[in-house]
Amino acid sequence: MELGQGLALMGAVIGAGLAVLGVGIGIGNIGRGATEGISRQPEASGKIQTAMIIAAALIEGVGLFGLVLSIIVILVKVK
Amino acid sequence: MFKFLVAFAFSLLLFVTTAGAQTGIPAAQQPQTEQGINKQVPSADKIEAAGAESEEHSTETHESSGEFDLNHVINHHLGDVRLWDVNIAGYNFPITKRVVMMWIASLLLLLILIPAARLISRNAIKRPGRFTGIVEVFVNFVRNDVGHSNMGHHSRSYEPFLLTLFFFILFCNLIGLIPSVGEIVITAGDFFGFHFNVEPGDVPLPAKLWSGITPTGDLGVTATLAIYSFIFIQVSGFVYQGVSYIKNIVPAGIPWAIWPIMWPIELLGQVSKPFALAIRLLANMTAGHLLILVFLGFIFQFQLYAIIPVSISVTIAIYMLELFVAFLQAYIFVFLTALFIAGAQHRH
Repeated sequence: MELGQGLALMGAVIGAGLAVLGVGIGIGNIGRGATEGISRQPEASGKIQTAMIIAAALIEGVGLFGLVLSIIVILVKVK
Repeated sequence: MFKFLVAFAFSLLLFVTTAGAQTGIPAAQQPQTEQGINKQVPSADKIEAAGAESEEHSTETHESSGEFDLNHVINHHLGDVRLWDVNIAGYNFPITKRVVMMWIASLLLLLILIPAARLISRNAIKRPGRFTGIVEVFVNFVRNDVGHSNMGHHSRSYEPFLLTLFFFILFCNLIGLIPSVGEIVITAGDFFGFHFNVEPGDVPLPAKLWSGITPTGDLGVTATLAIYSFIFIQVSGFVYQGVSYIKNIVPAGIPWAIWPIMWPIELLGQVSKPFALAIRLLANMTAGHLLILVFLGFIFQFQLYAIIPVSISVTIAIYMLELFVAFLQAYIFVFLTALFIAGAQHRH
């Protein structure tokens, strides 16, 4: 494996890690907000849970864009 | 209810044909990516079904294909392969693995939903049984929580489309989680001494008929579904607001001086919505399967007995997560489509 390929692999994996980092922070914030909301208003827990799952799925999708990009780089560009 | 489901069945045919024509395009660029490795690499799902046998499979893989290569496994499980070439009026419409799986998914939908609709419409007041009950739960969920909560009373004319989208995506997601029935048949045949005759570079017939691949793990399929929602969003915008929809995509109340900047941005936002829908579904369905393959690949990569319980248990956990994600992504796709349609119906 050449140096360039190694660097490309490294870049792809670091990018995936950064994407997952951002998603982790985002979903963590959502979970905190949801638990705070539920503890203040336990009767609204159903609605809060639905909104939480939708927001979490949206953020997860953005993170997966990054993952898919890095997978494409690894599988296609680094051979 | 019966009307909905029949409308659903008809639009399904439309879906499958269009999506099939779309799927053929990427497959044409990489014909026959998995020559000959078909019978040598055991299906990952199969190992999961029989965790205790995994050591056997490991040695088998080691002997037959030499070094273990995760790329081959990923290509085998996630890559599309042309199975039959169909030429219509000079154009090539290859029947790929995903097209066959989409047909199986839609066949299952027809077999499940039309009898359910018949049963329900025969006596609508009767308390639903187990079979009709579970269909009613999903249909009511999509109608109330997705359609009605976003669009109010306007949702009624969109419900057939939303239901079609939801059930098609759901079944496509779930069918990818079932281990390949065709390959199980092949392995059982090998075990009992019955070998399927294959020409070199071709796929045996049972693996063609049920390859166990996820149809929604392909950009052709998800993009087709997203283009349908794009058309629905824009058409409903024009139907509800007339020609002024072109003007109304910019939120009201902003100063006219920044209109030349805002309008192209909003137009780009309209186009990026279906793009995000397609990529989200594709990425979610691909990522989970990739994770399962990677964790099962640890067994073959390290050739250690100690790694087996770890990787099997992690795989089962991810599989459970994938079951949840299959439902969640179908819901998210339909929910966002309904949200965007509702956004296009009323001016900002």
